[in-house]
Amino acid sequence: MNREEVFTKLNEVFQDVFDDETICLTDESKASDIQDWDSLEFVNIIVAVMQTFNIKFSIEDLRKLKNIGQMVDLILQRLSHD
Amino acid sequence: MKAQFNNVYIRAIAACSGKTLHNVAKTCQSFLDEKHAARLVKTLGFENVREVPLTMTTADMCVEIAKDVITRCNIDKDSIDALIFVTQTNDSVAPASVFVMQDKLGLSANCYLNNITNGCAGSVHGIFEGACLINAGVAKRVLVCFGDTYCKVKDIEDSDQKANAALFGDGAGVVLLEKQENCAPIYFNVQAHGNLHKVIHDTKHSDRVERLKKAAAQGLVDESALLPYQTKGIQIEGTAIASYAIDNVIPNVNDLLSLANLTKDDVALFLLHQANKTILKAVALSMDVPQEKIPFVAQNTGNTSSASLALAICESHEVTNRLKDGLTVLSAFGVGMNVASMLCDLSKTTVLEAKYF
Repeated sequence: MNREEVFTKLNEVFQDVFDDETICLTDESKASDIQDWDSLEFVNIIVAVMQTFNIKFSIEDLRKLKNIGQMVDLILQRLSHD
Repeated sequence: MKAQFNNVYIRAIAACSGKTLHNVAKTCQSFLDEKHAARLVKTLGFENVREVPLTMTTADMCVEIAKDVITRCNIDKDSIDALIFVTQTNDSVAPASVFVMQDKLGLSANCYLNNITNGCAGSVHGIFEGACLINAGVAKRVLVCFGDTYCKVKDIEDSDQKANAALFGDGAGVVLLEKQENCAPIYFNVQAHGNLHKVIHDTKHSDRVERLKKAAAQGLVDESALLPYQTKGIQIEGTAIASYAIDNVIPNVNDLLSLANLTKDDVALFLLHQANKTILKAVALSMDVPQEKIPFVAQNTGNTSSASLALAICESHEVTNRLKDGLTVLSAFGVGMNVASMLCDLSKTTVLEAKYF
C-alpha cells in the first residue's frame, strides 16, 4: 500500500468514525481541525485504524503525533514491518 | 507482585445491580444533540445504566448477596475467617463499612476484617488478599466483597464531565474463597502505577480540600492552592485510560500467562473489566485475541467499577457458559492507576444468578 492509498483509507476511517462525509484530511490536519474531536473519538480512531490496516501500535506512539501526515507515516512504517 | 497459589478454591461468585434502568441516549440528550448522544452510546457501548435505590449503599448490596452465598453454599457463618470489603463508596468515614457488614452478617468476633479503598481493579485485589490469607495458613474460608455506587445519572447538572452519565452503573459482587489442597492453581499479577494517579480522580469529598479551605480562610495559604481541586465529581482522562489498557494491561496479562507457562490459546475466556466497549475492542485487537474471547456484556448495566467482572459472570449466560470451557483470565484495571489480573479455573465454581434491587 502506498502513501496515497493509506491517506485515502485513513480519510474514509475519519469520515466513518465522525459520521461526516465532508471531512477532507491533509498532511497538516490536526485534531483541533476536526469538529467533535475528543478523547473518546481518539480511541475510536485508534480501533478503526488498527482494524482497517490490520496493524498495532501503542497509544503513546499516537499521542506523540502532531498531524495526519505523521499518522500516515506511522501506518506506513507499521505496514512495512508486518 | 506475582503469585501462584495451589490451595485456594473459588467456591462461589455472586453479583447484583440496580433494578432502575436509565436509558443512556435519553439521559445524554439533556446535554447533547441526538447525533452526538447516539455516537456516545455507540462508542461506550452502554445502552442503559443500572441504579440501586438511593436508600441502598454498596455495603448494603454486598450484605444481601453475601447472605445468599452463605445460604446457597450452606456454610456455617462462624467458619468465615476473614471478611474483605473493597470499595470507593463507603457508608461512612468511621467506622469502616466492613465492621457494619460483619455485624449485619452475624460473623464471628474472630473474623479478620479489612476495608480496602480501590476502584475498578478492586475485585481482583480483594481476591488476591483473601488468597494470600488462605495461602499463609491463617484463614480457611474468606468472603471477599466489592462494589461501588457510582451511578452519576442524578448528578448530571453538578458534574464537569456529563458523559459520566453514559458510563457508570451501580453494582456489587461477592466471592467465597476456601482452602483446598491440590486444587487447580490460581495465578496473580498485581501492579500499580501511582505516577498516573491524576488520570482518574475525584476530589469533591476530599479531606485535602476541606483542610485547604480552612487554611485559606485562615490566610495560611493563598486561595489559588484550591484551584487544582475545584472539580465537581469524578474526572477521567479517556485517552489515558485506553492507553493504560493497551500499554499496561496487555503486558500484565502476558506476564501472568508466562508465569503459568501458558499461551493465549490455553485460555478460554479473557474477562476484562467492562470499562467500555471500545477499550475492550482495542485490547482484543492489540492482543490478537478473538473479540468473542474478550466479551463486552455490560451494555445494559454500565461500568460498575469493581463489580463489573462478577456482574459479567452472573448476568451473562455467554460468559457463564465460557467458564466451563477452560481457564479464565480475570483482569481489572482503573483508578490509581492499577491493574490486577488472575488466571483461574472457574468451571466448578457456583455462580449465583445476578440479583437486582
